[in-house]
Amino acid sequence: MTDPFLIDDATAQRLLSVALSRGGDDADLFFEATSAFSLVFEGGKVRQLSRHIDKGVGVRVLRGDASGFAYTEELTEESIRRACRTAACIADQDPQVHAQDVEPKKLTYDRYSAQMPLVDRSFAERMDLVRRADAAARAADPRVTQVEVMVAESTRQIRVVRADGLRVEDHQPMLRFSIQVVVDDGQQQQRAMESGGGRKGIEYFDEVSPELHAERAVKTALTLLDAVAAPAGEYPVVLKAGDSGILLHEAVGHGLEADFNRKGTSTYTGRIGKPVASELCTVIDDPTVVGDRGAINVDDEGNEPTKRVLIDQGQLADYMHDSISAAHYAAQSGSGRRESFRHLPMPRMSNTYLLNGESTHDELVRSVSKGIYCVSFSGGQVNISNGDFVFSTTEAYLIEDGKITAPLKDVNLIGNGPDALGKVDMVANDFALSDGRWTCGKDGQSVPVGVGMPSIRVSKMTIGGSNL
Amino acid sequence: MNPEVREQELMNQAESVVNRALQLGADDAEVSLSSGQEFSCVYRGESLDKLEEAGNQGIGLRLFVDGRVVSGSSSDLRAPVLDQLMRDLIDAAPHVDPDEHHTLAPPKALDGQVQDMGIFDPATVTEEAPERLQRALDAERSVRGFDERISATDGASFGAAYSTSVTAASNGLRRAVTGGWQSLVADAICNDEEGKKRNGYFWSTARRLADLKTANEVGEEAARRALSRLGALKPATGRYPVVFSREAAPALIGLLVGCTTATSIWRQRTYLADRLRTAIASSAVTLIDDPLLPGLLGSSSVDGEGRSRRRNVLVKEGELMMFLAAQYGANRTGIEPTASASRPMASQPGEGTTNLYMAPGEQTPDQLIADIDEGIFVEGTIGFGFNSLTGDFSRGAFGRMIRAGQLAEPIAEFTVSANFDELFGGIDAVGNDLIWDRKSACPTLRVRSMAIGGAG
Repeated sequence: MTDPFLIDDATAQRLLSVALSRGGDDADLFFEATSAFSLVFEGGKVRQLSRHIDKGVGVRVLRGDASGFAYTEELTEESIRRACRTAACIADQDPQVHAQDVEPKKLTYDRYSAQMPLVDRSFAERMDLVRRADAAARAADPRVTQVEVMVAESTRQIRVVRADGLRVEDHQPMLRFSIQVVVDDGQQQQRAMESGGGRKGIEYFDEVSPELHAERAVKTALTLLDAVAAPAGEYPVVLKAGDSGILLHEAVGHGLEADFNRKGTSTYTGRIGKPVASELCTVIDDPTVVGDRGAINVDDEGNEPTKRVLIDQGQLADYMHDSISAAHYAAQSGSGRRESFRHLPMPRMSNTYLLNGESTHDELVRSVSKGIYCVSFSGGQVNISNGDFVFSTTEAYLIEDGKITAPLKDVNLIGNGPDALGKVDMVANDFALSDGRWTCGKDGQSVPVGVGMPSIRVSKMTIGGSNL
Repeated sequence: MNPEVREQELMNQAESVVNRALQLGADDAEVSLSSGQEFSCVYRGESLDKLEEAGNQGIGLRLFVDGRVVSGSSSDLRAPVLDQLMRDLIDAAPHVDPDEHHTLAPPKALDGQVQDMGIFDPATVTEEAPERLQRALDAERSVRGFDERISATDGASFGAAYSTSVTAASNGLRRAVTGGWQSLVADAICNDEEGKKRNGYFWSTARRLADLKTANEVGEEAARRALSRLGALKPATGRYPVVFSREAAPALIGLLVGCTTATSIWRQRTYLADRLRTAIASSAVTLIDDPLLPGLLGSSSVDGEGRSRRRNVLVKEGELMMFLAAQYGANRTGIEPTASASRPMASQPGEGTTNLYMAPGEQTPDQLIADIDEGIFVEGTIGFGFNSLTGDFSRGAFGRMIRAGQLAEPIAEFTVSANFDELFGGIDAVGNDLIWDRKSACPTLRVRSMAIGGAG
């Protein structure tokens, strides 16, 4: 493969010297080339096909825990040198640290499983995926009035070159497929969406076919035609395995990113070793799950991402670190991620999940006399400083006398992270990862993540329905 | 930086790419180019925490080949790279289905004249870094110095950016816009007696540097907001009259207008598809999108497809007057284009709002709450709970109780829910406090009754 970055090691070292010329403690160059392809099928036609190319380099200079940053899309020595001079302005003294000779590092493992990238397949084969989903959705029920299918694939090639001489590269594939359907029974309309993917190729569809996605979406939308208004107030909630991991991501994940704790702005600041959840909860951030949407071989600072136990049987065990917070806490980095070369890295989640418990799914449901059963969600948001969160269901049901009954219209669950995790009083043994579809936003930067959990029961959460 | 010179340079470049696309076999082509500069800095405590400065560029294109459309974008503007991208797209085109609705605007519709809308302030380019750093530092000091109960901050930041965007297309479209903005943001955190953290933030964004609020105003307001949330509790579950502050209300009109576009009709994403010329809100509600107000964040004289911008009255005294339509949506639904086309870099223009607002009423915000015995004052919402197809709305919220006509204790961790017909139909008063400190502005609103999910 040809080098898209055109900057050799000796030049990179010279550029890093410029970046450190005003006395920074450390510096890195982050090269990135992303190539993306997408198709949209809607109303019976492939209507959109697009290709996107994004390429550039970000230059960062550190002085203590402060960052100077600049980037350029022009991969010429002259242009990068200008960026280095700008980033150097975070410091203001004589050079303290010198850029070392560059030594390439080879990764000895691969966490991606894209055997057959879409981009290598014929157009006919790619178009066939979206046409099959559309046909299956329309065949599933005559009440289907609208089908929209999207398939997108990207490859992100990164190279980190650091003042300590490390050079490391990674090719990060990503596949995403989604289908949205609208059904109409003559009285009302409802919609549903299914999606998935990961760091996989077209072989993903051997696991979950376009037809299966389509049939699930139609089934959910039809179920929602009978949906009733959800109650308002506090109820026991059973969260179904898999997609419900978004609760974990919002309710505790963000608060465990070390930058917030370093600044004293997180609800988990200063609580390492203390109880922050029920003893049934062990929470992991794991970038090593092969093929998962949140998997990474190397983080965006050139460090090896490792599995971290964040909460161990209810006790706060660890934060997620980038290099700045790792230096502050004398901890291990590996969670430094960035949306692109136009952004500074910060501590981010990869694939965050809760470990299995000993109950069964049916025991959880049977134990609730009046409550809510949640299957899937459209998204969530958290206030990092106090852990207050909200998330919105797209598929939820009432539980009455230990049985799942009426489907509910879209409803919000609201709560507080530490409070809700403290109220987890049953954890099932049916662990599942969400099919890769989540994108996490923080400070205006989006990165792909994974989530997962077994089914759990939370003894009390606030439900935002309209039925009082 | 001279905007006219920059616009001309980029336009020449865009025109040459259009010509090249036609040479390579496209029947029509549309090319957008943008080039800009951005600056930002963050102070936390007395230390500079982040300093960023960079120039950026990009190209987006849509190629029309045998009734099909293919699109692409690149941050690499070198000719061989663009040639390869265009060849790849043209090669792929036969695999796409023809879609007769994909058209550029007809040449006779290109009546937009670029006018000075007051969206570019030369000070955004010329202000020196030391003054910018000082502004962020002053805002941070204002937060920390405001009250000894302020225990931490996420830092105060100042940012400034300007850019020039041009579009050239084979239908004759030539559009060039240069704009800039600056913003100052502060954040404050304090601790409850039980140790729960309460935070507040405040920001100011303006096209003109002189219109930016001062570091003191921004910092002190952030601190005040954090302190005002100390001790917040869940309100009791029930139905209450709800007043949305002018901070919380803009989210509501944004969601509503998302349901009044041609795109939302053909995608089957709106509960309002069959509601044109019917009442969708109470008579207190008039919603206007006015790009021609000068100097605001959404001010614009020409839409993304070259049409002359105009003031659109979307809802008049509760009645839905129109759906917004860009060319594609117009072609698919038969709705006349409304000069509302957005200008994405590399995809088909959809409908966007410019300076969207709800017409103010006569009462002050204090008067709106004066006759509420017990109610909820919503200062902000969190989460994304809205189903545009059914109009069902449910969000997390924080704010204050209203008791005996006055703002009382702070409340948090509750949900506010209603169907949009009930919510907008239930607006019985609109405040007089229309303030253009954001792109979509809405005065304080009072809703007769909504479901609140809280304690019990």
